[in-house]
Amino acid sequence: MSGGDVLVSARGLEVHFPIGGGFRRKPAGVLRAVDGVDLDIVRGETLGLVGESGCGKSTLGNALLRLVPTTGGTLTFDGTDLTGLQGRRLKELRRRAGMVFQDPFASLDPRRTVAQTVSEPLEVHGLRTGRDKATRVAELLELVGLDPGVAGRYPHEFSGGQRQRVGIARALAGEPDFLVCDEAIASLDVSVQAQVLNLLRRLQRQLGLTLLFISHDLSAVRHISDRIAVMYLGRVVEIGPAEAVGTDPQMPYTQALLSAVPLPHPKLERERKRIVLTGDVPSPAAVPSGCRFRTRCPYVFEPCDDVDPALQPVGAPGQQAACHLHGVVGTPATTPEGVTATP
Amino acid sequence: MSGQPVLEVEDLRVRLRTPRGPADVVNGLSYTVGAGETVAVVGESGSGKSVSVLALLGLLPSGVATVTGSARLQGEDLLTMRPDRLRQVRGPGAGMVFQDPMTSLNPVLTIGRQVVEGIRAHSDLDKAAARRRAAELLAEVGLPDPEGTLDRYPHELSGGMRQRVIIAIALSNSPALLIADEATTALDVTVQAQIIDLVEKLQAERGTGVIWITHDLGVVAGIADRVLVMYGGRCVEDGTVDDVLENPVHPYTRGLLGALPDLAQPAVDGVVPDLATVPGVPPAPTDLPKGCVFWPRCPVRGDARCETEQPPLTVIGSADVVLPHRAATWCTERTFGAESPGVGRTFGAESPEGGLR
Repeated sequence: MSGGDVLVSARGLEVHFPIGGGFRRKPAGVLRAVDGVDLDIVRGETLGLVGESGCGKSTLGNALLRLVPTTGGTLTFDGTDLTGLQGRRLKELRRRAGMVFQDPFASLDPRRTVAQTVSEPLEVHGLRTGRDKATRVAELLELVGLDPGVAGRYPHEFSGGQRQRVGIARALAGEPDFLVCDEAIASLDVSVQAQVLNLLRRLQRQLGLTLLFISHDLSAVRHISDRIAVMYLGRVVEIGPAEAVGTDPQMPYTQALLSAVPLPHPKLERERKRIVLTGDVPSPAAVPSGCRFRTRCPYVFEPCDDVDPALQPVGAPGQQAACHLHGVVGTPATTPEGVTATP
Repeated sequence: MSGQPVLEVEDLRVRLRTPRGPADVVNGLSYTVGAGETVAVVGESGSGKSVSVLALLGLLPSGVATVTGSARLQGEDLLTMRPDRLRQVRGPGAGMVFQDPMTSLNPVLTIGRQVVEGIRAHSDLDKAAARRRAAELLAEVGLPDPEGTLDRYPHELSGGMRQRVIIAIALSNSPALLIADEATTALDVTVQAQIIDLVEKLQAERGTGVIWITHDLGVVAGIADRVLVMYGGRCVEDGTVDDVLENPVHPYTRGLLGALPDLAQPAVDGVVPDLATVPGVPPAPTDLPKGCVFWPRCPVRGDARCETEQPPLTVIGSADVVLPHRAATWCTERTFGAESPGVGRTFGAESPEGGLR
């Protein structure tokens, strides 16, 4: 997908949090939630971002919208550098980039009606006033498949799926180019998940949105995405067209992740060989040297300890994986003091 | 797979008292679990699947819940059992693994105390012996450094490790029946695979009967011998895992399967189709529809009886098998022919989308 029209671009993006510190106390360590992410999101595509809990996928989504401060690297949105953005220009970013949150029960204010919730972005950005505003709210509700007549109701009167539709309508109010959906279907029942997935796909096509779909559910990500990025311990370790990543993953972690997803086909499930990873994901406060997946990787070999693998083109066109099995490419590991460990 | 049943549930009904009036959460559930057999109970939130097993072990508040029917665990009826006898049965008779590994352990007690408590409640082992047994159990469920883990607190363990501890506690008295209520839902898929492997291994060694409650049909396909689909507090379809998932008959089961994005076959001719959806929301247990519980959402309703008469569980196909395939719907013959391949979920079928749209 290189050469496409890139809307969001991150280079070496870092979001580190101090841990254990406090008033007049030095932090005891650093939690590397996002630790050197290179990512391009092409205008008009749906990019799926998958990974296990704690891998930093939500933090990355927040960082792309400047909802958490970045501690290193560069980040651009439609050519504009986001890292130092302030004031009016940051507000314009807020209009152009929206977010759909995980929990539709917690992300709507229980004391505001649907109309108040959905029209807030219109007011903040001065987009519509008076009767125009009501018309626009009705439009938005219709767009997400709700009856405009519900505008005067409160969140508790809706089911989880309907609330998520309200959340989507709010995110679309500023006519954004870019929408981040962070586990937007995780708290919904299966049949309702399908409704919301269909809705997001329709909206993406209809409005030409660029979508970052963050989820731990590989089946859903595979279903909705044009491309898939796989995160492990703060780093994108594989990225490529959904078809290629979904059927021919090149990074051992992606292979294990895919093989662990249970499929609703009894015969297939019985025959399938599952790669069961041992152990747990290491803490992002103590990232292993070299390849960060080496502590759980079934194929670990010599260079994995010493060289931090970089993404390199492998497999299908546009597919990249960070793994030494495809040739040792990357930066030699450094000691905590920043000195090169191996000459 | 099946032997003498470990558990026989007959016409289980649970009514809860709520501010909005009586809620009929479970409405006549009957099934058996054989030794070494895994029965999966599937359904969406509010279908009554969790309440139905809490009722078995007497874990529902007595002032609120009215439980009727019978549930014989190794011949003894759990529902009429005296409380002190029930206490003896929980543990050696039936162990339970709850959904959330973050909240089902006591945060202020060490792992050791919590495992030892369960062991000593049902045996004469002294403290030291119980502790040795606890360490053995933790090793058995694959926890590294079992001795050290005994002295740690729950917050020091990851979700997967905590769930292993809970499984160790549930298995500590070698129960004849293990009930897992969404036991892997809160876990990542790679950890889920570890836990499922573990339960299958322990089950094969000990011949434990397992009730696995989940909403994840993928998990069901991998572990279940038999599947029971619940909707509105009723079993709407049951049978072998192959029958129910490969040839679903009830419109609800078909809808549920059609709504799943399919990782094995996401695209047809290079195009990813929209997912089938089940319109509407499940009924409130305080206000169940008359007739078939599914009719207000059913895409194929049309039989005169749908809105007035509750369809009984009827055998589909051959009745001369160990586990007949049954469904509770009036629409079987009318809508789906005998050779219907289901919603095309048979892997590799020609059309991945059936009639449900």
